[in-house]
Amino acid sequence: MLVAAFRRTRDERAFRALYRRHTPSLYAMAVRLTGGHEPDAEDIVQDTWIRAVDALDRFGWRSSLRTWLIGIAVNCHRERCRRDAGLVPFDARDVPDRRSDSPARAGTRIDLERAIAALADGYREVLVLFDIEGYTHREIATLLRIQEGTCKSQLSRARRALRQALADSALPEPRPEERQRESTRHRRTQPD
Amino acid sequence: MSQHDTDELSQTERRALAALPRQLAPPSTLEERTVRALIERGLVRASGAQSPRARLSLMALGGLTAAAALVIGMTIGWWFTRPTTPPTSGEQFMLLLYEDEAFQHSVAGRPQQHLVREYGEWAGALRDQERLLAAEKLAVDGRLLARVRDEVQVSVDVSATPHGIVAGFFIITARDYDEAVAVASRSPHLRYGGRIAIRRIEPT
Repeated sequence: MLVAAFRRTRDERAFRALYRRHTPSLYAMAVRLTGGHEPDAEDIVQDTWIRAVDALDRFGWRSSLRTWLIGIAVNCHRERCRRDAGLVPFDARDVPDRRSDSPARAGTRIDLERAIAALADGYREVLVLFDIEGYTHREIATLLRIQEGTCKSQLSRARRALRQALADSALPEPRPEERQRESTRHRRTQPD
Repeated sequence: MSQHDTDELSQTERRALAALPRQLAPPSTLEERTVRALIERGLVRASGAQSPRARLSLMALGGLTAAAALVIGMTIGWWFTRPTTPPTSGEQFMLLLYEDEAFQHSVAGRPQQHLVREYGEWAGALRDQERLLAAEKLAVDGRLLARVRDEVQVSVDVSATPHGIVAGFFIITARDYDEAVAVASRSPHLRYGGRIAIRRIEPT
């Protein structure tokens, strides 16, 4: 209905209705894909809408509009990753760790969001699309232009990496007497 | 049991992932800038407009690209033709300024005089520091040659790089790559999404 109204008029008001309906879910996914980096997520959302509106006349309802938009957003993200491959911050001391910029949420959700943000880009993509957005392996394979088998093995590795990250963040601080024992053992092993 | 089976999610993990929010309120500025970008491209009609706007043709977009290139060209030409004391020390580096579609969209809606001032201030600082050796704007057309199966072939598409097309260059002096990077990092070209490649010139 919103799409038909917008196609008919190409009116700003009709676009804003479409935008407000779909952007919250698009933005949530873009934030996760970028590892919590909201400026990059905003750029992805804007680029997605520009491409989507440009191609809307050719959208044939082979999927839902949301699925179609997410596909465009994933491609925008991948293009940014390819373009930025190999770049490192000019002065790493002044560049905040984007992995620590995940939106603050209560309890284990903070740990889980941070752990997802800390995954490598490829792992994060597959995990977000499969375990959070609910795409099938076949759909993800088409979207990312990979084999279905590759998608499955990436997902396995992503889940293992996520579990490891969560386990590492849950390690308790060593008790004072344990720290003392470690320190003594270290001194004994040093050569004179 | 296959490798994949051991990595199935537990009930607890499924519940935790299912509990993550699927929606996030975007900043209100994002809606405004998205709408503005769509209107500038003729993809959305601004509310209150008298008649439908035509979509921006490739020529119109090319016009905006040309305007952006003109700004850089004017700046380079103006600053470089002023009398200068030749730079004396350090190594020489070429700064190649790349533009892609993202850069062109970024500068498209900005007042030209602001762009001229920003680029001019940066180029002027290079002159004042006695770093600037040369600067030129490159035309958008070009030729690319390659030998394919014993035959030299020519293409008019010189834009096929991951970073876009080279729009211009500066040759500067700097002590080393770190200093050259520090100089180039202050260029407004980066602020608008352009890329700068830095190559040291081998003395011969």
